[in-house]
Amino acid sequence: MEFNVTAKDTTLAGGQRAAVIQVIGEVDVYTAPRLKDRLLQVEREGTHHLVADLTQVGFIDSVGLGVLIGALRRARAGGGTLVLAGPNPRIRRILDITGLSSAFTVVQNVEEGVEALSREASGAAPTATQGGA
Amino acid sequence: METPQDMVELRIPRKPEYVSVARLAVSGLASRLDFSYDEVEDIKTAVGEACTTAIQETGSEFSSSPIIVRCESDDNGVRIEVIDQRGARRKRAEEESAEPPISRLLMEVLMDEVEVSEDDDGSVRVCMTKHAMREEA
Repeated sequence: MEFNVTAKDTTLAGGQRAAVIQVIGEVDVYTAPRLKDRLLQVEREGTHHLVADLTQVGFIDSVGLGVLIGALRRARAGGGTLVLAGPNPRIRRILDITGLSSAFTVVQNVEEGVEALSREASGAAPTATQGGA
Repeated sequence: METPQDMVELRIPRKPEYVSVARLAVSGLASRLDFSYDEVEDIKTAVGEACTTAIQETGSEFSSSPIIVRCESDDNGVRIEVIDQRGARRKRAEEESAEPPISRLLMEVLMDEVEVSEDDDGSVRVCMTKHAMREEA
């Protein structure tokens, strides 16, 4: 089963550092620790404005959700946030069932995710793109 | 058309890398029945959660004890048991928790029936049922 996580630096409209975390494959009890390690590495480098690119994630379980929740919590503590970009309808359903679609900002793609981060970093509420399927 | 109570049993090592094997096997079985794509995905997710819970909550001293996934299917749907032979400690921890963990919530929502019981030998048995939806004649 292919699984890969990469992080790409970007800059928000207000000049803040941000990172796009691209995840490829299934996020479960086996692979989620690798996602967590990558997120922690990005956070240690001082980046707290994050987009998780889920467009190529076919499946996520409760352990994967736990990793995303932990990253969201840490990002907020650092003055940023974590936006979820491009989850498929199945993952959106899982987010809805667990109530997490109201905790995360969920957008269609990475570009919208970076825009949402820019709005949030500038103090505007990201409500325009928030929500589940 | 399935014959009554076809049964498939899978034993997976208590290791994270094998949960995807259980998901794949159950998904293959459910795909043969009268389930929609979304229902197959529901079943796959729920079984994955049951296996994951068994792996996460059991200490490494039990790593040699397999997790048993038993699927019985008929025209009415599928009944899946995930048997964790070392799970009694986990079940008590869940009962003492104020809120059900995400894994339990997902199982409850995605399947039609979920029952967790403890056998005399201390095994925890998660029994989940998904009914096949049929159009009225």
